[in-house]
Parts: sequence; structure tokens; C-alpha cells
Amino acid sequence: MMNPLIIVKADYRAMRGSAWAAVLLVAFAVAIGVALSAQEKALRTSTTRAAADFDLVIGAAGSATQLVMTTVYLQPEALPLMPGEILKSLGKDPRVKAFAPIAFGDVVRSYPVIGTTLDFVTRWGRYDAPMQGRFFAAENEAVVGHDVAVQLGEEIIPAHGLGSDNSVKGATSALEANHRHETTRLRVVGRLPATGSPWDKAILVPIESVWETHGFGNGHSQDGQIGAPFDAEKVPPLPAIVVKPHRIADAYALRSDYRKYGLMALFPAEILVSLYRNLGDVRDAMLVASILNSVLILCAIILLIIAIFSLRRRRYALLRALGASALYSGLVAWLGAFGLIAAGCLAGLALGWVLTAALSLWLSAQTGLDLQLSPDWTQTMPALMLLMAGSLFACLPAVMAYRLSLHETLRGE
Amino acid sequence: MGLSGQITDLRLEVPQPDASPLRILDLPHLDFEAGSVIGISGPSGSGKTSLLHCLAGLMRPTSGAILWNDQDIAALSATDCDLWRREHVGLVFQDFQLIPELSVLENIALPQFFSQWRLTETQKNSLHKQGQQLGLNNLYQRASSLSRGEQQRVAVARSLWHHPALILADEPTASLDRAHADKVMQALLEHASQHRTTLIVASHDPAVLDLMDRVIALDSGRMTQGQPLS
Repeated sequence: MMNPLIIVKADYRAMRGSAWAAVLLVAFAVAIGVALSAQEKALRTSTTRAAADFDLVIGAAGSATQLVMTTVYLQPEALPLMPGEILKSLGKDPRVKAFAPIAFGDVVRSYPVIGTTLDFVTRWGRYDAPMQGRFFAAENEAVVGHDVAVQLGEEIIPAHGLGSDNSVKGATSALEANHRHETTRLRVVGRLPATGSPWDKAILVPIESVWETHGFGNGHSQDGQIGAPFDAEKVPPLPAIVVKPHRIADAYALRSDYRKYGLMALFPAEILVSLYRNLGDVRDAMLVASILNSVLILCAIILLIIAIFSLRRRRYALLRALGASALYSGLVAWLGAFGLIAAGCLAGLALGWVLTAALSLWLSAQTGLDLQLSPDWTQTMPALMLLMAGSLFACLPAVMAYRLSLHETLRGE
Repeated sequence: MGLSGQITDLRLEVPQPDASPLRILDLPHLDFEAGSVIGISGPSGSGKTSLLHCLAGLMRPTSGAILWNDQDIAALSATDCDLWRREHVGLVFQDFQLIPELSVLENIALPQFFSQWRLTETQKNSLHKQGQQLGLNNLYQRASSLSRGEQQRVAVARSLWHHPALILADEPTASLDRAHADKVMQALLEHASQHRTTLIVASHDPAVLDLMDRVIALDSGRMTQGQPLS
């Protein structure tokens, strides 16, 4: 069996820097494509998973996107408020299986403090018990999300949140220290299982605690009571309510009914679909840019290969002069070019995954979303296409090697 | 046993733009006896290298026949000609034509890799023996680290490695000092004598031409002298 690799290796040794440059160029082109595709998929999956328990969200009329971003993804923005009486009608509505008012605004060591009910803390009864400790049972108790760096039994003091505070989670900023609700003391009694959502970095308290802290009473006719039923007349204005309907048809009916009287009811999926469409558009545009980038790089590589071939043509002529078949010299030229492109594609796939993992870590830290990467064949398609195109283009130097005039080339003409 | 050759009506012309074709070779008849040692002399541009390349099948003449053991290599396809060359011809180039990134051993045995993946132990032993005969002691050093004299000896070793029936050497001593030139010629002549190989050497060097059985003198592609030397 012939051994073309001995010459291919010699060629690579001769090329040194230019071979590495060619591999790196291809690798970067592939890595960008892989990272874009994998990241977009991870973002879709994680945002969908994070919204799974938010069947229907009701808020005051305003920006639907902002309502979802604040309620589901805990992006701190001030939402318009709706009258608290709505809890009464929801409590009586036979189509509603459960509902949970949500209140935002406070922070502890930069973790958002979310006021809600036990129904939502247990994720509509899916959790029988928290991961550690127990669920809250009184106004002055709190449970923490899976990733909150606060110990069970610790006493925490909420502070007034100041919009987009970019402090590191777990650290108390000077702003936070100056805006503490000193009269409120909360005892951490439990830690929730991971949800893979920003709620893993939130502190959950009875909503009555938030109301009390801000001087709105506790929403009940009696002190110390937590959870539904609420006293509609005493419930302060609310930013958001999450509703769990009995059936899908109920969800649509509720969505329609609560889109009146200055209210807004929506499925987070509606917003996500629009977001994904935009994400998809951005991804498609970036993928097209990435493919064009790959094609340009491939052209650059081919030009480089042809330039290198010109420098190596005497070598290929020598091989023929010494009796190498046209197949052998062609194979040497093809393997030399294809090897660079293949190495670039493989390195690009690896680099793409490293890039994706790094991006995911950063995005997870920024958003609290658990961006799980799941490699699949579709993400390797750009690399495979580049490889296939490269294998075809690599035939160019092979054909050129076959068509060499041995006499002229050996004489250096 | 060496190849016997015959050239009949060999013409080699190169087309010229807006002019009649440039004649490179015009040789009505030439014989090469099997096992003979033949020199080709002539000034630069006289057609020595072109003749050698035609004899090796590296270039196709415009017309005429080049018979080696009655096989017309001018009529062979490029693929068949490559195969014929690999089996029968050893080439020595004026500028060595080594692959600098390969070792001495890999350069000498290069044609072997056209048909096999790696060298056998027997082949390696044989290479070491041949290397020693030519004064090449370290076969594992890169060709790029060799002196010019050593490089030419490697090129000669490569041409002899597969015991060809025909050796074509183009100015094998042109860039060497006398001592190295003598070593190279000695190696070629010894091999030709031992294996009765046909050896054809193109050279300017009178000392080299003196070693030949016969010298063919060329001028402007035509033979001006071709009698056996007494």
C-alpha cells in the first residue's frame, strides 16, 4: 500500500506557520457557526423550561414582554400595578385550579426577594417538600432558591431594590445596606430544588410579608394569616398574578376574559414564540454571515493551498520523475489540502463547544437560566459542509499535480 | 542487465509566438548499448538536459521514437511512462532534488513509498550498507542539514537504490569539488559495472567525460560527435 503521508508530513513541516494559520482560520469560521447554533438552542430550551410553571400571567396593561421578563425571568423592572380585587374574582372562578400573586421589589445580598404563595413555591404541588428544611409557614419565614448562598436558619433583612442593581449575587452592596427594611426580619427555613431558572437565585417569602414590609397590611382580615383566600378589599395593588387553569380551554378563556378593564393576560409562550422568532431571525442572519465567512475563509484557504502548491510543484514533479503514479502525487496534493481543512473543522468543533460553554457560563451568571448544552448533529452540519466543500476544492491542487509538465517544472521554468 | 536504447528521427520543437518553432533536438539516429557508459557533452543550451529528459520519458518529443529494449517510451501514456521509469530508471539531477524535511534514509528510499507503507528491516539494512559505501553514516539526519557533497551523494544513492537498468545523470558533479565529484562518479561507475547498468551522464566536466566509454557531443540539439572513445 502506498504511503503518501510521508510527503504530506514533509509538506506540513515545510509550511509550518502557514499550515497553522490555515487550520486556525477554518477553526474560527467553524467555531462561530457551532457556538451560534448551540447557544441559540440552549437558550430556547432553558427559557422554555423556565416558563413551564407559568401557564397564564395576568398583569396591568402595559408591555407584555416586560411582564414576562419580570415575572418569569426576574429581570428587575417596575411593572404597572393592577387592583388587588382581581384575586377575589380569580378565587371564585371555577376555571382556575390555583393562582399566586407575585410581588417584587426587595433584595437580600442582591438576591431578589419575591413575595408569593405556597401554591407557587411548591410549583402547584409538584414539590411535597423542599430540598432542605421546610416551606415557609409564617410571614417572617423565607425559603431560598437552589443557588442562593444563604444558610438555613440565617436571619435576613430585605432591602429596597433599586432597579437594575448589578451587584454580585451574594454580596451586600452599599446601596442595599443603606436601604434596608430594618423592621423586617426573615428566617430562612428551607431550600428549594433546582428549576434551572432565575428563580434558583431568588428568595421566596409569603406575599403578606412583602405587603407588610411596605406598609400595606397583610391582605387578610386577620393578622398572621398567609395564603389564599385573601380579603379582596385589603389586598394592595399587584404587579403580576400567575394562574394555573384546570384545562387548556380554560386557559384560553381566562386569557380572553382577563384582557379587559385595563388588564393584560398572556401565555409566556406567546412572548417566547415571538422572542424565538426574533432569535431565529438573528440566528439565521448570523448563520448566513457565518456561512459567508466560512466560504470566504475557504476561498482564502484554497488560494493559500494553490500558492503553497506553486511552491511545491517541483516536489510533485520530482515524485512523478521518480516514478510515482499520478494517483500518488495527486493523493499527496489532495491530502495536504484536505488535511488542513479537516484539522480546522475538528479544531473548530472543539473550539465552538468551548466557546459555547464559556458563553453559557456567562449567560447563566447574567440571567440565572441553566443553559444546558446538548450536542447534536445539526450543529456539526456547517463543519461537515465546509469539509465536503473543502474535499472538493482540495482536488484542485491534485489536478494541478497531475497536469504538471515534468520537464519544465524540474528545470524550474 | 542494462537497457539497450535506440533513438530514431527524434525531433523536439517548442512553439514560438509569431515565429517558427524553436528546435531543441534533432537527432536522426542514436544507439545506446546495454551496459555501456555514455557521456553527453555540449555547451549550455545545447540540449543535454532535454535529451536526458526525453530518454527518461519526462518529456515527449515532437516526433520520432525512443526505444528502450524495443519499447517506444515516446508512445507510452503518462501513467505507463511513470511506471516504466519507476521500474527501470534511476535519475540524478544537477540540483539534487532532495526533500529537505525528510531524513537521508527516507530520501534514498523515497520511490519505495510509492508502493509500500513502511520499509522492511531488510530494506533498512540494505540502505545502511549502501549509505556506508557512499560515506553517508547518519541516515536519520534531515537532508536539509547536509553539505552539498552529501546531498549529491544522497541523490546518487536514491538513483541506485532500486538497482535500475538505466541511470540518467544530469551534471552529477557540477556543484561539487574534485574530491566529492570523484566519489560520486566512482559510485555511479562501480554500480554500472557491477550490475551492467546502462549509464548516461550529461556533463561539462572533461574529467567526467574521460571516464565514459563514448561521448555524444551536442550543439544546438544536433549531434556533432558520437564515436566510441578508444
